[in-house]
Amino acid sequence: MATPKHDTPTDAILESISDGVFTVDLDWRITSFNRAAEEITGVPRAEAQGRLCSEVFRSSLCGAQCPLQATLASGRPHIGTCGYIITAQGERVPISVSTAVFRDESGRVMGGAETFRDLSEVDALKRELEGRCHVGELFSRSPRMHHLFEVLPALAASPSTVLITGETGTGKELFARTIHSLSAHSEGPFVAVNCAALPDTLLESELFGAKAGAYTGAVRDRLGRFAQARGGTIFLDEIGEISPALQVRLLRVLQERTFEPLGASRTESTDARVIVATNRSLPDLIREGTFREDLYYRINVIRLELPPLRERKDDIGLLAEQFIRRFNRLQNRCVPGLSPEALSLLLAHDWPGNIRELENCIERAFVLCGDGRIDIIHLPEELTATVPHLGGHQSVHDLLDRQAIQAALERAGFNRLAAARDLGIHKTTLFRRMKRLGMELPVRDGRSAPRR
Amino acid sequence: MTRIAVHHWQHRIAPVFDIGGEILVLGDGAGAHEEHLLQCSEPLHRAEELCVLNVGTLICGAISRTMSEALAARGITVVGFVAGDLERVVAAWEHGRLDESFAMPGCRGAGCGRGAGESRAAGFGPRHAESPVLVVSEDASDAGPGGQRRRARRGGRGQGGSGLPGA
Repeated sequence: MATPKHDTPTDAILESISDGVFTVDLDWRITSFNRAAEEITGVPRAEAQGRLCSEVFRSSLCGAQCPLQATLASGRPHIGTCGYIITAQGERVPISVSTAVFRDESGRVMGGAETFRDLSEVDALKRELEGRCHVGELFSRSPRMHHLFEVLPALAASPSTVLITGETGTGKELFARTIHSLSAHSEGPFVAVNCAALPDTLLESELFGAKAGAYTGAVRDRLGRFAQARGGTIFLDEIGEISPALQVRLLRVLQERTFEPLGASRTESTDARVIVATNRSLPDLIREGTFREDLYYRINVIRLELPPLRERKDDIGLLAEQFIRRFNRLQNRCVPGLSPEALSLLLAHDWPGNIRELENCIERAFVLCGDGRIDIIHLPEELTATVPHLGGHQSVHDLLDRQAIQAALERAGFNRLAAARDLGIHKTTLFRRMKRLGMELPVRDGRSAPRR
Repeated sequence: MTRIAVHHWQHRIAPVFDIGGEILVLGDGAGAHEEHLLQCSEPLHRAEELCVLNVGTLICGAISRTMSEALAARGITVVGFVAGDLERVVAAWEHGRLDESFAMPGCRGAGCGRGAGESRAAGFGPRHAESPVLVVSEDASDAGPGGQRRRARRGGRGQGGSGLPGA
């Protein structure tokens, strides 16, 4: 193989580095294109030279968002803008781009220089690391969730009915979908029904179907959701909301795997796997007399209890990152992430709406943040209002300090010395810090034995 | 679906179709050309958007495989990795002369990326292509200005075929 000839030391350096580098003249035509640029783009130098950079580079940043154009307009370099290029094979290659004005020896602007880095390997490593904390579309670092992840494959392999409980927005349907996708019926349909969304009479025909003439307006046979879910999974959300009459019919389907569509004289069967979910306490409903005990025992074969987001705060950063990645993809955006202060604020919130609330929060921030990082000012008032006199980062840190001290005290049974040790500080430092933060000493003192 | 859409930016074929922008929809016969701003970014939604406009063929610059497969699934023929002045590309298409001189750099056939049995004249493909980039749907009509579409189809079916005939 012939050794390439380099005219200057700069040429030799450009040829040896792993970052792609090209320069353009003031008409946006490529004037130089290094070896790494050839490798990353797949475009030979001879074909790149003299062509418009956007037609060679083919990046998601080409056009109105071109960082090189912004650099030439402002004279300021852009560092690490993220995007992707499309290779001749149609592959999207993730890249980060940095730009600078290109001047000759006399300082005259000759055009622009762009360096770019192939992030495929970084992305692959990221995915591999994330692979350790996700199953399908479910992401978590929380030990409680990992315990659920561990049982999911066995649970998916079983034909038993699964009851998923958890507050609204904790991802019950996503769990149900994951169970379906891991099951032997994953090629079959996944049919989701929100039992609270329909009045009782409509829900009955929705679930079991109806024959023509069964009711006014039923001009043709209508296939029910149980029939549609044959060979797959039916997910009945908000099961606690169905009427006692429908509970009886559902009990029969679960026990005998048969049902009759409205107005039908023949019994039909279903082999659909049944997953039900509720955000209500079914034992409470049984006590109130609104939920059948026998149905409860029939559906409570395997129960998954999804923890609320406030009990798995370790996941907030990971989930926010996933949402940012998804919105970037959907909206062709390049938001790099959250500022540390914004993340602190997310961690300080209690998330009564759970993951759905977090997703909405990130979506809202996307509207406001442009292409920069999501910062405190882009977050909704519900979050910023929790910080007293939000005046800067110190307030957020104070809030987190306050939470850490409170949690340490609770863990130590309000023994202040043990809490200080847990925090890695001296007891007097703890007192001083609590005083500065305006925290009162807890009424309970861990040194004294609890009252009996 | 019979109309031709051309994705453009600053009077040239736009470099990347995936990021959206404007398309020029060529009228049927004597019909006037129309401009449309692409609203959707998700591949399947983008395909639906083109279907609503009765677009059967798309001429564009770089396009990802995901996007081109979504369009193909809706019966849209993709003639991608095209570069050049908008008017010249449209004129070349209408006269059946949209050849590999309009290919983006690094996307000329030169014997690369064509499936077995495809003739050299059938189309140019990207270098070192390992799988089809430009999917040409089975459903697309045979009728096309200057027979371009028929040739495009032959070229596009080949491995890595861009849908454009060789020079």
